[in-house]
Amino acid sequence: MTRDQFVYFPALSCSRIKKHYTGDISYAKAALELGVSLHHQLLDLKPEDMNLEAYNVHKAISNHPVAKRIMNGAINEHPMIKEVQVGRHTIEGKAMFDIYNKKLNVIADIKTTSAKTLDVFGSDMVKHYNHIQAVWYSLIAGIDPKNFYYIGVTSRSKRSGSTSDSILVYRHNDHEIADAYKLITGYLDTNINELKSNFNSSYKS
Amino acid sequence: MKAELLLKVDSLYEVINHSNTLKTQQLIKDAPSKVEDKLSYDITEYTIKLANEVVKSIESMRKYVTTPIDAYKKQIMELEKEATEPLKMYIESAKTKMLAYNEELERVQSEANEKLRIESEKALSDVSIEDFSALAGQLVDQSISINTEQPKNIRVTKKARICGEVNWSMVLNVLFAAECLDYQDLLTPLAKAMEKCGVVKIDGIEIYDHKTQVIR
Repeated sequence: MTRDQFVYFPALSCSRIKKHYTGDISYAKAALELGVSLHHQLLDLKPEDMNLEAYNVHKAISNHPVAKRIMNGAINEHPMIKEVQVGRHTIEGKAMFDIYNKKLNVIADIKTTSAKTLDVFGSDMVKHYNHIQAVWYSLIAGIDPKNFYYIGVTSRSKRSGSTSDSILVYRHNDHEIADAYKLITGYLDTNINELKSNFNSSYKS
Repeated sequence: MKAELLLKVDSLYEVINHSNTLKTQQLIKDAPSKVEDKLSYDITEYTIKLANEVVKSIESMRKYVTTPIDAYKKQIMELEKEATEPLKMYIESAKTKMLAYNEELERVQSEANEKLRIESEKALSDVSIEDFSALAGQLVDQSISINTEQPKNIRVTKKARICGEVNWSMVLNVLFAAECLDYQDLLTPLAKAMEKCGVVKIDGIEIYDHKTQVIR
């Protein structure tokens, strides 16, 4: 499946659910574009073809005991479409995993972050409703949301000689996961009609 | 504070309106508009001398009038300094202590991170695929708990310092490209510097005679 085919595939994505809560985030366009560029460098290119910043990040990730194990043998930018059940709703969902390690049953997502510490990074993920993404992706992959990890790329990790300290690996706690379930259910509850018309063939409730 | 501020502005007005000043102002009006022969050159030289004298007398009177202001200002600033100096010294010394504390926290954090990294490496090296998730999750959760406090208001700015043989050509290129350096700042002292160092030629640089009229 090409990226375009994925984008236009009529199934519910987590970004649609997130947008319901975040509203318009076009103010963050520049930051998002920077993130896209780093994703491309890190996930699509071989280390020797990466630009210097991405290469430094790659090296830092390779020194992080958990992140390197997750990335080792994983598929990058892996699309998946699957019927998921949330509460009383069953709907076809789609997700593009940055990093999918089928063997370890783990998904990871690269996030650029200005956070300096893990707790701030974790709070930022919730603040930006990324816990919705964690749970949605887990539902689609059929894994426990506690096996969804963020690999936070700080500005320190882009510098030469960066260490694994500069990589923030985080997973949501039970409370955050429960909150994300609530938000997803809330979205489905309030958008039944729209979803029915958009994804008519797949929506069952 | 003992200083008294007595301003003698009238004296300045007197010089400004002095007959010499007025006469010179009139002479300038009548001076040749072009310098094209010996006569016009000599007349211009003479008017410049007169004008210079007037400028000096007004300037001198202005100094006479403003010197008490400068002295008064100096005393006020001394007063300010007496009050602020101990406070500023305290601020500097306290900031240094806070930065040292922050560095210590960073050291502790870094040590804890490294310890956990080594432990994690060891623990994950022989973990089975089935047990990976549980163990990796534990290690990630554990790393949240070793977060040290993050002091507020620490600004990190990048600064440069010399740590070896410097590629000055690159330094200049970068500064010019970033428009942080005006080439004129480098050209102004260059001719004298070249002379001092016995350098006769630099590619792209012309040493020329710049003339100024030095009549006083």
